[in-house]
Amino acid sequence: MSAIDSVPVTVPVATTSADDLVTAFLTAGRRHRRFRAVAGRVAIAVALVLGTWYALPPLGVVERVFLPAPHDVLGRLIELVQTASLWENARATASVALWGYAVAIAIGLTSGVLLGTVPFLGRALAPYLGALQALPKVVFAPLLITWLGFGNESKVATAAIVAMLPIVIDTMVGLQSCSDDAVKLLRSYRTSRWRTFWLLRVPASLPLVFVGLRQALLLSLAGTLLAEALIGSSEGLGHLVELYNGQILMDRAYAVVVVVACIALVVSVLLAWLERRIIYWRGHELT
Amino acid sequence: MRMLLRRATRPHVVAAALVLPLAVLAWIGATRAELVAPILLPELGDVLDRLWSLFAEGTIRPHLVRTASSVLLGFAIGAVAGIVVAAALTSADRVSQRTYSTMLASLEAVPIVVIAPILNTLFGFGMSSKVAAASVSAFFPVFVTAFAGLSLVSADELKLMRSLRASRLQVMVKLRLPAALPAIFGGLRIAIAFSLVATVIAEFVGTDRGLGYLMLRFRGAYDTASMWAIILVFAGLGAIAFVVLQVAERRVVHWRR
Repeated sequence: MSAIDSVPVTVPVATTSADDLVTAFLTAGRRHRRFRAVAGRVAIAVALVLGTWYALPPLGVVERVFLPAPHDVLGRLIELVQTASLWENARATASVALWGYAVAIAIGLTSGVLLGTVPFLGRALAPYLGALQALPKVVFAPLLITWLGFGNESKVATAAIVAMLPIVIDTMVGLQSCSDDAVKLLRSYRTSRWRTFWLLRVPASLPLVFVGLRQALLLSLAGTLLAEALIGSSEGLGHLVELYNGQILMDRAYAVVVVVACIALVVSVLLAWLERRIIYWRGHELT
Repeated sequence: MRMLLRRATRPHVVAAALVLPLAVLAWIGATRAELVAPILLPELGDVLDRLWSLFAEGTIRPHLVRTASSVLLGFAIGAVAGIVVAAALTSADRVSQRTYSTMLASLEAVPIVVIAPILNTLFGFGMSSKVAAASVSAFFPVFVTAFAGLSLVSADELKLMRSLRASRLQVMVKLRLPAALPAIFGGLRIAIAFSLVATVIAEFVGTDRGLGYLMLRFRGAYDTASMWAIILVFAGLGAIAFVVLQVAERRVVHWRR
């Protein structure tokens, strides 16, 4: 077993579901009957969740103040969506998350390519990458805030640090994933290293690189929200949740959580769709 | 023995062994030459000093115990729930399987950061809200991998079990579960990391005890050396969890390799 094998490849957890959703959308129109069956199941699940939600406070499990009724949350959500302040906060969060994402991609792709194309480096650092995976990156957030202050810099840095590692590892493993036979074949044609890299390694790595990129975007969003909450920031969706939660305006807090959930879901579905367009050969393996 | 020696002297193994001392040297050199702000990276000696005194004076003990028990309890609850729900779902019809697994897995996109404050309000600032956060984040990776693993069995295998008049429970315990174990362990490894992250986040958001709380207290004092000491403790916790799971996996999935 080489050292590389001991690095657990980041498993595409959240991404598989986004993939399924894309499939569902793409095939929904064609298969009405199946769609109806699925819709029925969804309705059952929603009814079950809503039923429990309504039932809990009267049963005395939680107090109504802490768990407002679903229709109240929905009402607040509709109100909230129409206010400018929600979108300003969403914009603030999105801009920090995207900056963090950009930094994570710049550093992550560069080091991933380096580790993936220089086998010696990759093997020497693999155990440390595994160790870094086990370390919760969020613990760096307070340190970064102490260093960079309470502005946007520390938020961007937190987002980048939280998001970076999957890109590094998936790029590295992806670049190593093409078969030895394919490499030998190209070498027998005297293909230059450079051309081998672009013609073989890069296309072979893309599916895994995309998994890393998708994970990283969600992580960058999470890192941003955390930094906003930790800093006591005056803007951003993370700040909004903290604010409403602190004032026990739970219906509003839940409404913001729904907004964040929708954003995260839309982002991951969008990336899944983009991935299908770019990696059109997936399922018909190249190597 | 000879093979071991040959393996140990392979260049990349040597290089891997050299990385840590080099990193330590770089840390010492950078702080001595004042290349980095001491507020970001204090001297290694100071960090180790703080680490030592944190343990020697017993300051860290209640916090370490609280964090570790929150993580473990949350991990256990989330993992069991993930496996049970996945097992229940595999005995449902196909459409339900696809629909519900997609719905459940989609929930994973919701960042725990926004849920943690609400859990604090619901369950109070004590340990239970941290356990809740940890188990929520542990649930999803275990559910997804367990569901995929439990569905791995072939139609032939199922037919064979049925021809032997195996009960549903027997099919689950003797056929599906063993087939799923490697995948489940993959999920558990992610889940323990997730529950550690979730616990820390929940502690950051509000608590009176735990390593996350301790870290914020040191931040208030601009004591970066102590903050680095706690980061090292977290690294240790992560490493221990990783190794324990690795050993458990080798024990349980002994027929593999």
